[in-house]
Amino acid sequence: MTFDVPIVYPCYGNLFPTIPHRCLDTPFQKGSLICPVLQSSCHRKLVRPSTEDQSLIIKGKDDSLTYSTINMLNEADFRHKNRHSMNLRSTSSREERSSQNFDSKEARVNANNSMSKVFRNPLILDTIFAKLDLPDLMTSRLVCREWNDVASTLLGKRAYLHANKLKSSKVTPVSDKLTRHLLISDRCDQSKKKMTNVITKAFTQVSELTRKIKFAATRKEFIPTFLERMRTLGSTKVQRVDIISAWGRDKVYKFPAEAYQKLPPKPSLTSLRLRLLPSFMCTRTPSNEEFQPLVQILLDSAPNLTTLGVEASLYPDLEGCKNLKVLKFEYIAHLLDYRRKLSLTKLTDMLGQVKDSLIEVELGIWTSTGNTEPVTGGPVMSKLTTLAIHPTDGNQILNFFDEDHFPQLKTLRVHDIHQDSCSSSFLKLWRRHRGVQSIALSLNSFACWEDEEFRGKIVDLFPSVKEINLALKDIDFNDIPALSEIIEPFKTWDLERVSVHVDGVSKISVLMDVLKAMSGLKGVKSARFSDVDIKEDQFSPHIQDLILQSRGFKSVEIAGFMEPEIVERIRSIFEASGAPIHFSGGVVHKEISGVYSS
Amino acid sequence: MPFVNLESSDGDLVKVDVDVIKCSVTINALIEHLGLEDDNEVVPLQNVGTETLHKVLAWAKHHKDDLPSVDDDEDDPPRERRTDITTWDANFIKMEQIQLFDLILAANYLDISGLLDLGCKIVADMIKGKTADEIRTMFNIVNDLTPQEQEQIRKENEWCEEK
Repeated sequence: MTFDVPIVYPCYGNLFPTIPHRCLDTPFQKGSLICPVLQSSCHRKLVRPSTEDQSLIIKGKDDSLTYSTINMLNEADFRHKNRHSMNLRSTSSREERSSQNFDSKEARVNANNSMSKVFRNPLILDTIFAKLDLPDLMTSRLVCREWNDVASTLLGKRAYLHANKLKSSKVTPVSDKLTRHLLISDRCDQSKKKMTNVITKAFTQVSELTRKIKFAATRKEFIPTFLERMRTLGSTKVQRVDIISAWGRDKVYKFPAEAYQKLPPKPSLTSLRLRLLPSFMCTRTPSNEEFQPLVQILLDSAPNLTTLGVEASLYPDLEGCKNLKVLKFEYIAHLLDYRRKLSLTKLTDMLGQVKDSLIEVELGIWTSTGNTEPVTGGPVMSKLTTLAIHPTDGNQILNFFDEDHFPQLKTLRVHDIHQDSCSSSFLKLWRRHRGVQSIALSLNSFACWEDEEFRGKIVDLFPSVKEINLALKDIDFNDIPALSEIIEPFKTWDLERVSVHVDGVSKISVLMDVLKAMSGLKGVKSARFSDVDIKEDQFSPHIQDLILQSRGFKSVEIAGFMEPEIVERIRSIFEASGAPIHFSGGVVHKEISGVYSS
Repeated sequence: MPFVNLESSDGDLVKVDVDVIKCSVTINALIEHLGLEDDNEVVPLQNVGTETLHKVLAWAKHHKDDLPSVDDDEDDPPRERRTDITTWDANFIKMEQIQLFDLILAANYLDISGLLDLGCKIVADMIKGKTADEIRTMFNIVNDLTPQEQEQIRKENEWCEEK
């Protein structure tokens, strides 16, 4: 096939030579070989959002259609591996002719031309808009139709359409693009009648583009209504459903039997998050018996579930979840109930049900009161690569944390939360694991870390670590040994990446100590100090030291309370020095230091 | 070390280390699919002027050893991307608007995501805090939305809420 007449296929800003769809079936012409490469690459970003669609149709300015296919590169197959065909001149001359024509007629200034090309290219617009905050993104929708088009898609991905706000009786249909994520909450509508209305209205907004529905209820009795709507929802592409609830008032409400009716299978549903808890002040714990069947009908309705988050006082039956890859499990029990309900055997049994599919697991057990019966052993998690855990003294699973039970483990994250400081006792449960390459530790106490033997043991336990993330929060820096001592043994690791986050530093010496200790480590280093509260007269003399010390770091962030005058002054010194220090606050005048630290 | 010759739209030839220009997905794909057997291959870039091409190459050379960026999760674009601009990049991107827009077009055409991001960040900063009217004036954009459509957009914006 040859083109006798110069044809220019319309596309955005004449940037990309475009091939009509029918040509895709035929081997490319000499002279147009470069086109598929340019095309497929430039459509990269637009293609990505729709996972199902392998092809994409972009509507041109003049209603002509431009086709692009992800697999074009393969389809084209570059059968004509003819070197000379790389020459684009034949194509470009057509382009040039047409654009020259355009230029002379319109007598456009060059600058305007480039600018309008940028602003008429949806891919570039998408990249620009991705860097805007929500309010600016919303304003951009009002600029022109094309901007609205691109910005709406992005807004749909970044925001929820809040169903409760669609209350007015005459709701004009909302742009499908904005229905990607739906949020229903009973934050402002407490009456049953109103909420039933809101839920019903929300479900009428579910479109082809809807991917996620989030339901936040403070009253249990709205859950059956929500499930009822889910039941009547036909086939959709909804991938994720979140039910977040925390209630206090309606303790006496019992789910009616029909609430437990089965849900029709939803093959597209791959992610579920269920947070079924009483509100903080409510002393009664939700009963296991009441929620267990609810969780079960949801699990049963999602045969292709890959991600599950459960925060409740129950152990879900995961027997049917054969594709589950990611599990985030938090067992939350009330203080009085804790010992009766918590069962480590149930935990290991639950993991056993998904031992051959799970890749990532996050475990958290709150309210540690200790004294749970330790258990021994557990399933072999054959595919698990990431284990994140908030340990408590209660979850003593012996002879479990080792290479035999976690043969593929690469990433280990251990977090102390609030008053619990059990990371060290958890780490002591481990036997040597040579596969772990990345460790993240959030510590709020150094109880064990003062013990030199223990510190050395960590390095010994995980000899292959390449990446370490250390977060220190809620620590009383007066009571701890020099941080350098804790970091010291890490020097023997062959590290590639190190990041340290320290919260609440009030002494320049601690800050310097962290940097000094880190500089002895291998790898790309970044340090972050948040909520810093250091007096200016203590900070200033060390500015040059900081600049020197930050050499070899990728970044050093110092943030805290902002006194504009100080921030500006100190920041300009750091900037002028070329040091990788990002300074945005944390240094205060002598007189007011301490006022903001709480 | 293999080289490739890039021809700008002004007809100038620039010899480039393949290692430098590998950040361009477009050129990378070309090289992979067509192979480069000798140093005399010419890749014509009819959408990139000489001046812009040199800018692209200066950027590419500086970022030659950058680690490849991780792809974003499609449905959870990070709300606040860490878009700290390095001092080098900040100095590099100080240019006339026309040059900036040409550079963005070139980065898009050559598919160099880091450079495209940098350019788009600057444009995003121009948009920030402005009204739709101000944006249209600044960028010479014609408003083709009807008042009804604008009203609908305003309403929809109110119904949307940050994740």
